[in-house]
Amino acid sequence: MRLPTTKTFSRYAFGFAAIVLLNSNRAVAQEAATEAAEAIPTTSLWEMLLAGGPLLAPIAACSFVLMLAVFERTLSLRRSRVSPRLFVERFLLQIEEDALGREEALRRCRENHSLTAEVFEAAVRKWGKPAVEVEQAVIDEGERATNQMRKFLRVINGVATVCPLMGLLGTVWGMMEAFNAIAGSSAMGRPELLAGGISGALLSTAAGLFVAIPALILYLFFVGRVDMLTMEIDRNGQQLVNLISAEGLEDRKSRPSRGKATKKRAA
Amino acid sequence: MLSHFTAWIALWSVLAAITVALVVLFRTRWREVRAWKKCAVLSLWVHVLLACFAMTVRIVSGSAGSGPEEPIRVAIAIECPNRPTESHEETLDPPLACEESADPPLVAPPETPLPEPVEEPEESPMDELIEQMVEEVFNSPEVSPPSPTATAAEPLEPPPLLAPPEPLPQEILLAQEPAPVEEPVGPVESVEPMRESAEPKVQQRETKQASVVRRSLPSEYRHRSEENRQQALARGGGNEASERAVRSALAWLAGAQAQHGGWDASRHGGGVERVVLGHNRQGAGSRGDTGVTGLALLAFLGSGHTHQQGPYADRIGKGLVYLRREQSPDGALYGDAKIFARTYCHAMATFALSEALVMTDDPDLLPATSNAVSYTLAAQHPVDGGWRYRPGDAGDTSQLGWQLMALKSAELAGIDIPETTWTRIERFLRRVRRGPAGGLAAYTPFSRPSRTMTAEAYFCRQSIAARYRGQVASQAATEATESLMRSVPGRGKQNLYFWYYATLALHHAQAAVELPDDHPQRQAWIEWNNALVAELLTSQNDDGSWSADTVWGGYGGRVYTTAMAALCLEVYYRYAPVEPAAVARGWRVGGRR
Repeated sequence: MRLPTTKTFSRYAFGFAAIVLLNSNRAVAQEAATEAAEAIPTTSLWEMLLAGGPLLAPIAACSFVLMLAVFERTLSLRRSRVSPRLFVERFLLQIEEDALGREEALRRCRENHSLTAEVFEAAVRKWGKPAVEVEQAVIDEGERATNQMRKFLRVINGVATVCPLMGLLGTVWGMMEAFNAIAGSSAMGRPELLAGGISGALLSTAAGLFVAIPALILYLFFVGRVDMLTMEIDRNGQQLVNLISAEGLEDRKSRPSRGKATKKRAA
Repeated sequence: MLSHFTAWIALWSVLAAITVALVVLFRTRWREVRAWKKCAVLSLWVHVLLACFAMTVRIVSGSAGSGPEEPIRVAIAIECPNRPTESHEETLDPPLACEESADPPLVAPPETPLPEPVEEPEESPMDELIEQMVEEVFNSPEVSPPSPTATAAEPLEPPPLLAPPEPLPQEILLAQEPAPVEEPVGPVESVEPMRESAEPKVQQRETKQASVVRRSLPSEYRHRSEENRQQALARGGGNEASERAVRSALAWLAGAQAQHGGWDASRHGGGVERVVLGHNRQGAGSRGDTGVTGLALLAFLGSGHTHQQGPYADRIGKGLVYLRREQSPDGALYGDAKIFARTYCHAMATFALSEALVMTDDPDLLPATSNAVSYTLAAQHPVDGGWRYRPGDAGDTSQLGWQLMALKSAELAGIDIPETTWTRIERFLRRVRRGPAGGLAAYTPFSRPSRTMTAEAYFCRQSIAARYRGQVASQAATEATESLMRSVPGRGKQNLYFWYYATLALHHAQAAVELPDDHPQRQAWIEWNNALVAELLTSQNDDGSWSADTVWGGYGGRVYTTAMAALCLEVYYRYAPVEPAAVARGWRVGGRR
């Protein structure tokens, strides 16, 4: 909370700007609509949406939630948050060169806030234990990390599933209203009324699909990304197990140590 | 259009700038803000952008009545006359709207100073000039080329008629059968579907007019005669200058009459496509001769001239003969007009025939008028209650005004209009009501309110209410008046169509009841009238006509603008308000009640 006044001020400024923009936009839209011939009855998409029936509000809310989840996942699944390459590379190299002790390694892991660092931390705690034990720690922590990565994906999937259904419900509703409207004798022989009602009703299905299709595509994209990152974490964890388990330490001791140049490079 | 484009560009650049600013701020200053808050803001912003985009996208919401064939209708109405079946190739059905502004400007218009009344001496040289013009109309030997558009005189002064009047078409003796004309025709038209080929003859409705014999002029028309006119002029706010403008306009119209007896729209600049309100109507009006003939005749009739009396009797007679000659067997009067102009032309021509019949009671006009009226009745949409481009199309307000006025005059002439017709019209008017008090109106039941349609519907509602000795509800009237007063003449491009209906409606609102001068309706009329007279008198050409450079003038040409302007200036005495006492016989002349 540095400069709270500035923050508050900018928040208000943004809110105000948004309102002004929306209003001016509406004014411009209205003027444009005015200019457009009343002759051809055109209507703006916005007006159509406003007249689209009762199910459009939940679809709009779903759309908001979807974008919220998508932005959140985009930020959370960045490489720097999951498995920063530089950190992983150096960490493994330095352990291999014996340049890092247990405590130092733990401190490094705590400093780096990525998911891989958490997995490494769990492994380093088992420093010198048998490989099975260390591996178990890596698998457990990896499971947690994977769950963390999948956190809001179910929301996106839910939006992709529910939105078309809500759209369909709105359409069925609108169809019922349209048929009721022309069931009255005053509308006999006026197919245009029915057509108008049906086209209005179909709008909610269209809106539902409009939200659901991007949601599904984004869901598939994020699932693929999570799988890829999970495999990467698993692979790095396995490498660490090979380095710090009892068997791994044994192997390294039996190996002839390398020259100073390597140490320097590792530092 | 360009300004809107730049406005959009500006708007989107601002939105883009805000988006970039948001992203940058999230990465710098607001780094510590919780991630989900950032996401919420971003999500909201994305939806704002989407909403803005949605506002810019315009979607055609299809209008009823398009399509090559007549829709199948199940008519339940008992009193439904036979409809002429038409088949033609035209498939698209964009309406011909009469719109300029849908929404009132955000800023209230400034107070307009009232022009000082022009004090004129009784006998001025201008009168002589007009008389001279009229004489020349009757004596000039050669055919006139359409004169170039003249310029307006100085503001707030009646135009000096100094320029020599244009030469006029050759006189034809009435006895002669009019020969086919060989005149320079305007632009080349596209091929139209032929009307005569596949038109079955329609059974004419039985009208009861034959039994009706009228002895005197209906009270609505009493002010047209010379003796009553001065009082109506004084009360309404007309003056000698406006009367002179009407006289010179009629003189120009008389001179512009074609040899066949009608008025040729394209010869005087009609049928020019100016893509009004961004919509191409394919130069509708280029063949709308019957329509502009109707308007020209209405201008003569409105000033009290008929084919039986007055200096223009022969000319009006020839015009009426032309209309009757152009009538098709089913009663339609649109002649060769293109699809978008047809219903307008039919309504205007019917209106002129009906008015002539009301004013003269000439039995020769009766068959043609009642045939035309039965076509009108058959063309009304049975449920929606309006008229459009083809019989049975779902209607629009713009057409309704002309049809209503034609039917109203026909009823005064003794032709029976079924009660269901009025009920349907009233239903249509209810469906296009807009605004909190229902005083505004839209072009169709599915569009936004607009000022021109407000004027037209306001006048229609007054007419309907007057039939039942009622008035428009005062709140609705106030709302309509306020809307109309936001575009008094003199601002923006001339829109005679709008002025015509607004003038009729505003005049009627204060003339139907005796109001004190400080009553808002009366004040609105005074302000409107001053602006209208000043605008029309200053823009009249030296030859008495008005330029076709108005909003809708491209379609009708100079005959249309001149006739409409003359009709606007005849408003003071064209229709006298119905006396509340005269319950005995108002509108319901031949109808059953």
